Amino acid sequence: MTARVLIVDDDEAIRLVARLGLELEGYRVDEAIDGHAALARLADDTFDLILLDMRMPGLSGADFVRVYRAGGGNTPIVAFTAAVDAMVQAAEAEADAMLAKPFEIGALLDVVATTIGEAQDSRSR
Amino acid sequence: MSKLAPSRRESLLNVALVAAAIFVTGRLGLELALAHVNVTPLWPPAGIAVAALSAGGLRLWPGVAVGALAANLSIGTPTLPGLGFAVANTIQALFGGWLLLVLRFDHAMTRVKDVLRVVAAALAVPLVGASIGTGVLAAAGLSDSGTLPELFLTWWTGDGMGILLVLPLIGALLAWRPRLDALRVLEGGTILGLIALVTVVALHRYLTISFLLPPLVTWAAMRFAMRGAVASAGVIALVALAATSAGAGPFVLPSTNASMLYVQGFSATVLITAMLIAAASSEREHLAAQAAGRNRLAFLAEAGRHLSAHLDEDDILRELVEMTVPRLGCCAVAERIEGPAERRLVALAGAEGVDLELVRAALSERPGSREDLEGTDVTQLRAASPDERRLLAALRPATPPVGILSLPLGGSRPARVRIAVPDGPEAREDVLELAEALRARADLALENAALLASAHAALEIRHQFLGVAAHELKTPLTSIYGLAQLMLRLLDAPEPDPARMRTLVETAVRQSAKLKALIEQLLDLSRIDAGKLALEPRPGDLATVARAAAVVVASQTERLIRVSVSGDTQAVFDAIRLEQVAVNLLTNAHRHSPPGLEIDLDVEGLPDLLWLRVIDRGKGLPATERARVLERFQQFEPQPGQAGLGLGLSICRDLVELHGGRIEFADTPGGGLTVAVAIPRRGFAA
Repeated sequence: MTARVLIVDDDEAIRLVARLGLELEGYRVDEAIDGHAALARLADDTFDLILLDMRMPGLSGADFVRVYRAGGGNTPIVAFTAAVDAMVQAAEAEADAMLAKPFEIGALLDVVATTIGEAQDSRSR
Repeated sequence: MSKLAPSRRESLLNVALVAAAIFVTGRLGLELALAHVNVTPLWPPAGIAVAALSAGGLRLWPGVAVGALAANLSIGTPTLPGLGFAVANTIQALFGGWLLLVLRFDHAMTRVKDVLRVVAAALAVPLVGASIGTGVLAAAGLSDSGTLPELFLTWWTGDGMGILLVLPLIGALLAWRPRLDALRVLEGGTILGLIALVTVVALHRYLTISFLLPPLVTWAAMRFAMRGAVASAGVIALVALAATSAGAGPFVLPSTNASMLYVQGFSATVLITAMLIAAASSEREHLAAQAAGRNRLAFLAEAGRHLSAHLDEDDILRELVEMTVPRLGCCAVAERIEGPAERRLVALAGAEGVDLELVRAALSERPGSREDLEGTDVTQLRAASPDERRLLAALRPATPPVGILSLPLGGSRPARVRIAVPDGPEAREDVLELAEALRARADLALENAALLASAHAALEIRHQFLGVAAHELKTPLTSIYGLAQLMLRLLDAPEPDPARMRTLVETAVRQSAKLKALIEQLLDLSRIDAGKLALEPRPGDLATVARAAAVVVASQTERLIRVSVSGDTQAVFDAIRLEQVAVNLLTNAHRHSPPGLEIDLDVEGLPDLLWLRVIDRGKGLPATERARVLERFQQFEPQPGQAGLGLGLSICRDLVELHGGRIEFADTPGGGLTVAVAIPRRGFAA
C-alpha cells in the first residue's frame, strides 16, 4: 500500500520540492496552500502523514494543529519551518516530529518514513 | 570736580537722612528734659546713631554730628557747649557702631545672644556720651557741681534707654516683610490694646492687675517676635512715663527726675524680658524650621530614589501615591489618560479612616471627560469640577476640611495624581512646594520609563523584523536547495526525465529572482536608514518608465495592464527608482485583485507635477489601514505564498519622498483601490 502525504505550505516552490522528493520515493502526495484548505482536504480524505509549515498567513501551523487535534484528527504531523520561535510553537502544539528549513531531501524522507512507521507500530499494537 | 559719583551722592543722602532723624527725635527727647535743659531721661538719637553707624557704616558719623548740633542749638544752647554735646554724641555713636560691628551684631535679632549684645551696648556705650557730656556741662559752667552725678546718671540711662528701644525697633522694621493679613492685624491690635488698657488701669487705679502684663507681653513676643516685643514694651513704657509725669502710679518719687529714672528701670526690664522671650521663641522656630527642612530634604531624596527605581510607569504612579499618604494628604489617586475619552485608575491610597471603596465609587461614577486631567500647574482646588466634588464628598466623613491638590504628570501618556490635602492658609504653601518637588521627581522618573519603554518597543520591532527577514530569506533558499538536490537525484535516476528537470530549473530561477528581490529590499532599507540612498535624476519620460514597469509585471503575472498617458510627461527623475515604485505598486494591485480584472496605469503631466496612478478593481483598502501600510514591517492581509518583509510600500514612499513627492490612496469608482504617486517637476534643482 502506498502511503499518502498531505503537504501544507503557502509557498509553491517548497510544495513542489517536497512533492517531487516524496513522489520519487513512491509516496502519493496532495497539497494544500494553508490551514483552512488542509482542514477541508482532511474532512473528506484520509492521509498517513501531514507535512505542515508552521508559519502561514491565515490559519497558522500551530493553530491548525490545535483545531485538527481538537476535532479528533490523529494523523501524524511533521512540522517544518525556518523560524526558531515557530519550532517552539510546533513543540507546544504537539507535532509528532519537526524538520528545520532549509532541509535535506534525505532528511525529509527519513522523518516522513520514521513518523509513518511509528504511527503504524502504535496502531498495530 | 563738580560732579559726585553716584555712590558718593548716595552716602551723602544717607548722612543727611541720619542728621534729620537725629534732629527730629532729639527735639522730641529734649522736650522731656527735666534735670537739665540739655539732659533728658529718654534720648532716642543715641539709638538711631548707633543703629545707623552699625548698619550703614561708620562713615555716616557726620550725620550724627550735624543732627545733634542742630537739635541742641535749636533750643538755645550756646554754640561752644552745643559743639561739645555734638562731639559727645558723635564719639559715642562711633564707639557704639564699632562695638556692634566687632560683636557681629545681627540687627534682625533672632538670637538670644543678639539681645544680650544690645543690652551690653545699652549699658556700655552711653558711658562715653555721659562722661563727655557732663564734662562739657561742668566746663561750660552750665550746671552746679552738686547735680553732676545726677546728670551723669540721667544722661547714661536716657541714652541707654534710647539704644535699648531704637536698635531692636529698627532691626525689627528692617526684617519685617509686611503681609496683608486681616487676622494678624486684628490680633496685634488686640494685644497692644489690652496691654495699654491693663497698664493704664494698673498705674492709675488697681496695681494688682499688673499680673496680667507678663502673659500679654509673652503673647506679643511669641507671636510677633521682636516687633511684638518692642511694641508691647514701648506701649508699657509710654503709659508709665505719662502716668508718672501726671503724678500717678508707683513710680512717683519726690524728685521728678528720680521718678523718671525709676520708670526707665522698669521699662528697660520689661523690654529686655520681652526681647529675650521673642529671641528665644525665634530661635526655637528657626531650629524647628531647620529640622523640618532637613526632614523634607530626606523625604525628597528618598522619594526620588524610590521613584527612579521603577522602570514601569504604573509602578512609578503607585509608588508616588503610596508615599503621598499620609505625608501630604489623607487620600491620593493616580489616573492615566488612555484614550480620547478614557481614563484608567492606576493607584489609590488612603490614610486610616478613609473609605477607599467610597472613593473608588465616586471616581468611577464620573462622565468620561478628560479636561480635569489636563493642565500644567500644580494647583490646589476646592472641588473645582464635578469630579472633584464627588471625590471630596466621598472623603468628607473621615477627614477635616480638605482641598484637592492636582499634580499633572508626563510619560508616554498624560497622567495625573490628585491628593486630598488639609485646606488652610498654613498648610497651603508648604504642601504646594513639597508637591511640586515630588511632581518634578515623578515626572522625571516617568519620562525615563517612557523612554526605556519606547527603546524596548523599537528593539522588539527590530527583533521581530529579523525573525521575519530570516524566514522570508530562508523560504526561497529552502526551495532552491531542495530543487538542486532533486536535480541531482533526477540525474542519478536510471531514466532521464527532461520535462521534470525543466520544471525544477525554471522554479529554481524564479526562486532565485525572489531571493534577489528580497535582498535588494533589505539593502534599500539599510541605505535609506543610513541616509545613503542617492537618486540619479536625469531628464526622461515618465510614460516610458510606466510602460516598462507594466511589461515587467504583466510578463510575471499574466495580468492585463492598460497604460494611458496624457499631458507632457517629460521631467527630471531617477527612472530606475520610479520603475521600481511602479512595479511594486502594480504587483500589489495584482495580488489584491481577483483574476481576470485588468489594472490601469495612468500617467498624467500637469504644469507643476506628474501623476502616476495604479488603479485596481480589487476589494480596496480600508481608510484606517492606509497610513499604516506605508510604514515599515506592515502588511495588509497577505495572501498565501505572498507574505514578504512588509517593506515594499515603505520603500516606495521613501523613494517618492526623495523625489519631493508623495503617495496618496483613493477608492476606485465602482470598487477597488487607486494608488496615486505625485512627482513634482521641480523636485530637483535644475
